[in-house]
Amino acid sequence: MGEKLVGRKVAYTGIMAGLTALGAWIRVPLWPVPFTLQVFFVLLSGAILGPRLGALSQGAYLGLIFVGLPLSTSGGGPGVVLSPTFGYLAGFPAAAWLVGRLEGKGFMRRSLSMLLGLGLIYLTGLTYLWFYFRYIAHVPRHVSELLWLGLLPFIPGDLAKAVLASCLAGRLGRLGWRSS
Amino acid sequence: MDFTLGRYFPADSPVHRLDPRAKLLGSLLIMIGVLGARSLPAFGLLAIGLSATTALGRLPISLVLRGLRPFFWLFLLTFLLNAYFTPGSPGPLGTSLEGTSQGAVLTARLALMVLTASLLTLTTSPIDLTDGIERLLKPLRRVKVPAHEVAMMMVIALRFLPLLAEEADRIKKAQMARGVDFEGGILKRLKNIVPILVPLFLSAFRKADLLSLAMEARCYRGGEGRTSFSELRFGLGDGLALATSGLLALAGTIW
Repeated sequence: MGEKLVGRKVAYTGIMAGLTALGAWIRVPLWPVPFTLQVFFVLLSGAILGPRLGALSQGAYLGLIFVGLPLSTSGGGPGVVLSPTFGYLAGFPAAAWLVGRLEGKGFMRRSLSMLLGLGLIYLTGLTYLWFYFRYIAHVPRHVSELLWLGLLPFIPGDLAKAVLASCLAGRLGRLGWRSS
Repeated sequence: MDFTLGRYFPADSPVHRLDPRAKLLGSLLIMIGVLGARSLPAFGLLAIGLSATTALGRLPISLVLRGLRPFFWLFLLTFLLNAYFTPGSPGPLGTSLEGTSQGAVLTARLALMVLTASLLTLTTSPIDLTDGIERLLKPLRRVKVPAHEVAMMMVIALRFLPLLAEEADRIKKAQMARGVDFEGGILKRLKNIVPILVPLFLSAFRKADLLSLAMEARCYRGGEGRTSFSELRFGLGDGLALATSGLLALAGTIW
């Protein structure tokens, strides 16, 4: 944990943050939620860089959004904190950390860690959505409504991303950062 | 893809020249003031403060107001839901009077907060803001938050984002030339993301390798003992600006 962050680590982590930002742009318009690759890069950052650097790369990505770059699906700037989907963004570093922590050998183990990471993003996202309706918009919503709004439409696409990410994580882990 | 990175509006004004730390903390104070405001004079006072900043910063008003546009539906929804679904004495068009005033207060709060945030990013370039955040987070080193490294990663991501996007585009064209069909059904389109992603990752890793080589050749050793070409100076004007925001926030909350 306490090891020094030398150039190589900083470079890889920074580029991973850039890829995550790019992921918000690669989108396939689908109904009801557009398909973007953000979550895919979040999960993969944990698997490739490990818990600490993965979380830092997502932290850097959130930092870029905060300083005003329109890199999330809901724009940029400190105002993003007021958007209903901020909770999902806030869950990214934690999810990357969890995936990196649980990462192991084998496709099944990897898929499981990615699913848990995905669950963590949903958890923070839905919690914030509840908080948002209750305290910012002052129109409390029932939990079942929130699930329809903020969980169920995402599941098919996100499952596909998790599977894709676990397939790629095995190959990329060998080719890139860890081997050399 | 649109690379109008940030909505920074370059100009030479007292507001632009302020220390980014003063602007960050000042905006934070104003936002707290906005959250505490509930009466008309309080909102008026805060709005005057923001207008004065706009004028001092030589920003076109239309540009500042444009920051509100992405939030338009949120404002409308907040106002209408409150106006109609808050119990109270009946008002015009089936709304309730209490609900209408509550909706107005909430909408005004949201709008002022968004305006404060966009004033900050309009008058401060992303690089300056990153620098300011780095300095403000420095005390967190004690609890192992690597402020300098995170700022460095942000700058690297910012620098490489256009390159990565260009690369993704080039790979897509190269794969099309090899016969990959990017049109068609949903499942097919999703599947066809893979032949873009693998080369994209490999090229990104290659870029990261070259970058780390360049950094190590220049003896990059992380944040400790690193000096900076442009030093931030927290001067009298910065203190004054911060104090004014503090007073505004206080007045907004108490009034």
